[in-house]
Amino acid sequence: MKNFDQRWQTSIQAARQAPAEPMELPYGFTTRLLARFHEAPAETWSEVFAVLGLRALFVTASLFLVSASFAAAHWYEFRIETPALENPLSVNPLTEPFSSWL
Amino acid sequence: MTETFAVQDCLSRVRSGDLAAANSLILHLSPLVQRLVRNHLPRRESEEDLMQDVFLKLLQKLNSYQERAGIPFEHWVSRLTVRTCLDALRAEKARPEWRFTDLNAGEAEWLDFLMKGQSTAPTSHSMDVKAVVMRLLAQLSPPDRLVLTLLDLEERSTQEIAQITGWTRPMVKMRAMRARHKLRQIARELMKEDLTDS
Repeated sequence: MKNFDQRWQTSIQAARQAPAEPMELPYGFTTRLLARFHEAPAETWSEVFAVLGLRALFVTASLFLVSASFAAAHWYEFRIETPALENPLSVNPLTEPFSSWL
Repeated sequence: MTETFAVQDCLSRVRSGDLAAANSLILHLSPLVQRLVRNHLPRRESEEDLMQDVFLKLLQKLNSYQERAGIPFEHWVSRLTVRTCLDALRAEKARPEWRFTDLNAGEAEWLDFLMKGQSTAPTSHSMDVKAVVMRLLAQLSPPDRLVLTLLDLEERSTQEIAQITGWTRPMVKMRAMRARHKLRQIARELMKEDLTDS
């Protein structure tokens, strides 16, 4: 039994045989288009922002993630390496003054 | 080769503000743009409106077009047209609703063939199968519809689709595979509706 993909290909092949509708431009199409082109600004700021804004958002989000992960890793290392208390054996209370204990 | 030269000449005249050149450029490109727009037209958008949007973008962005060796201008136009159509399809909030009962006899026969696996394809008019194919494709998400239309209906290679859409070739193949899977699910749902209705 044929599977769906094969039958889909058969259908598509038959669909391609369908007679194409005539390719005609509507009456006055180019005139209307060129008039619209003269009225419209070259490229509106909103379009530029729509394109650039999305890219800027993506770059900002990526930078934020990288810096956040770096900061988190650094903070974690700092927390591990820093002892909670000074090593009491490193300070000799008999020979060193009290201020050097701290 | 002469035609390519004529296009480039025409482009430089359009850039310098020659309206007659802009007119002839539109006439030259209209069959290509019209064919693409027809294949990727959202249901609620008129063909003329979308074609106007495409040509308007084309004229506005013409200064940013840079000629590259071996890549015809028409390729840039195809890419621009397909992207504009994709944006229009995305802007369409909901997929058009479609029920098995909306089909005529010939279309129902083709849907039966797709889902029930009869050994021979129906002999009904090719417009019927085209209607079924277009209706099924319209149920897909815009990128899925786009990839299957380009790949199956327009018989473009994955390399061409990758260039037009900006996706990678593996992405095109993966999307096409998933789109066919979704298409099968949609057709199955329609057939289920038919069984519950009858």
